[in-house]
Amino acid sequence: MWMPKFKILILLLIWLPLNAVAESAVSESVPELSGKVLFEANCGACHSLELPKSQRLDQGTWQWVIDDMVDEFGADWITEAQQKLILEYLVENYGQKP
Amino acid sequence: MVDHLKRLTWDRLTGILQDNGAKSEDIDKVELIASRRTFLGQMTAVGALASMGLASEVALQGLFGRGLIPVAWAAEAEFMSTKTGMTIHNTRPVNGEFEPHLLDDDITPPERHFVRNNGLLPDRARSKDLQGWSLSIDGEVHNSLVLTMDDLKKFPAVTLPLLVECGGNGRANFDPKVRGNPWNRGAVACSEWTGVRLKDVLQQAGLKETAVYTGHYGEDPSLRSSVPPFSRGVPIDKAMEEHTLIAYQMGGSDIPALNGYPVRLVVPGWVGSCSQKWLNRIWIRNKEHDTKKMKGYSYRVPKYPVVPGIRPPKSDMKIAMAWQIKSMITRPTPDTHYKIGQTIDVAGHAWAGEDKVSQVLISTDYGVTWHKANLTQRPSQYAWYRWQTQVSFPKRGYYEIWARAFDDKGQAQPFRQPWNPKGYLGNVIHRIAVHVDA
Ligand code: HEC
Repeated sequence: MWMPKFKILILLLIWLPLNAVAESAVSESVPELSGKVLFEANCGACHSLELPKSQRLDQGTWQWVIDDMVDEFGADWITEAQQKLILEYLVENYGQKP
Repeated sequence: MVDHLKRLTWDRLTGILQDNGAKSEDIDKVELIASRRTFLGQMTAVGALASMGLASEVALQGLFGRGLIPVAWAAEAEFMSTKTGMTIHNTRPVNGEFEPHLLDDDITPPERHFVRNNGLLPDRARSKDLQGWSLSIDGEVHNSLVLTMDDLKKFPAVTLPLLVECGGNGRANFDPKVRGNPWNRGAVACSEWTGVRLKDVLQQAGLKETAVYTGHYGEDPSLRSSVPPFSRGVPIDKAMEEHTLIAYQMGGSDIPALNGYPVRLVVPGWVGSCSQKWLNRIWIRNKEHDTKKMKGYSYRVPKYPVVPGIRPPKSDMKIAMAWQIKSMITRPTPDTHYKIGQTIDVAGHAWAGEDKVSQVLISTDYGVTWHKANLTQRPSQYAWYRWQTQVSFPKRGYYEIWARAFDDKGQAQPFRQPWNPKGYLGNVIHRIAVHVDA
């Protein structure tokens, strides 16, 4: 059973650069994480990230989605400041081309 | 929260699991899964866990705090291997559809039935364990019922081909784009369902005068345990309609885990969310069912046509119920190459919610000219119709085959998709491309 545990470790380290990013942010004790990190850490907690990543929405609709996640679906731990950063990240990367 | 964003190791993971109250048997299951190559070909279970969002300790802590453990996600993904060829929109919760050319069968086989799940797969569906399962009927009835599987099977059994279609099927064709799983055309199936008529069960319970609506509940845990489970309902007339079934088999076998084992509702012709999966309770209401998924913008469409991209106020929304006239081209496979003059078999299905299909027209010149396809009668109400025809092209080039169905009330499929804020009831005509080579 030890081999698989080792594999978990290796795989997570390879697959998840997020952890490294987050850790460096922590070690510099800068409370501000980027929109990308916040998105990946929070928006994959209940459903896979594929769901938000499959969307191409304008700012108003992304705002609507985030409001629903927070107010209706239970993502109530995401602060308003974090929501704002996530929104900017989503509009930039998963926005609707005019 | 920030301080919890640290690198995850196996020991930290088991530590978090324990801190958050995971039972040791759950931890063993995680180990077991991690030690097997399970699903999705070469991807290890561990890799799949990671790709499913096991992204950071913060996410994990949140999850385990909510009573979710990776084994639940992993097992769910494992069941996806029973749906070979499915286009997957989302792995957790599982959501996937089949391309139209894979849905050519008159009776959709269970392994080609789309999956549209809002929550997590119940343990029972995973272990196929009937122990402890029952279905309660309560509310505006004279005698509340609690039925075991044996009790349920004492009602007359019926087997029918019935169409179930996700309310969001066709969402990918909305412009401007709308939120939600981007279903193209394959979140629809006409499988053979065996079960009992909901009507028979409700009659045994004895509906009171005050019974006007149903409220359906299932065993699937919601994505966050503090959020109430997914629940919708239908007006009592639709519940009493003789094709509305409490089903316990699909295609002659147990209902697949991902599609609602052991028992689900089949409310044919209406938006799929009426057909509650993993059913364990029907609450008969004295008013319209009033859960979140019945309200606001959920499974609702505007009462009047709206400017594309503009969301009307909630008070201007009404519940989406029956599907409208629709068709799909299941043959040929898009982008097939043919020779000049070669005969091409073109076929597909057409359906119309509560109505009948009267004709299907085909065009190969962008709608300039049309010809009638042969339409075969459906085996029973709420099954889809088969249509077929042949075409050939005298010159090389790129062609599109368009299909447009009409119902018995003279309504036809639109050429452009009328817009609504959540992309429900999409029924724009289906077009596929073919190539004719020199
Ligand atoms: C507390 C749990 C939770 C968290 C955290 C969460 N979601 Fe969701 N999300 C849900 C639920 C529940 C649904 C509806 C699932 C369904 O019915 O299929 C959903 C659906 C969605 C959908 C598609 C369907 C829709 O309603 O439009 C998008 C897009 C989405 N979430 C984006 C996000 C983003 C972006 C974040 C991060 C800000 C996020 N989610 C975080 C629970 C959550």
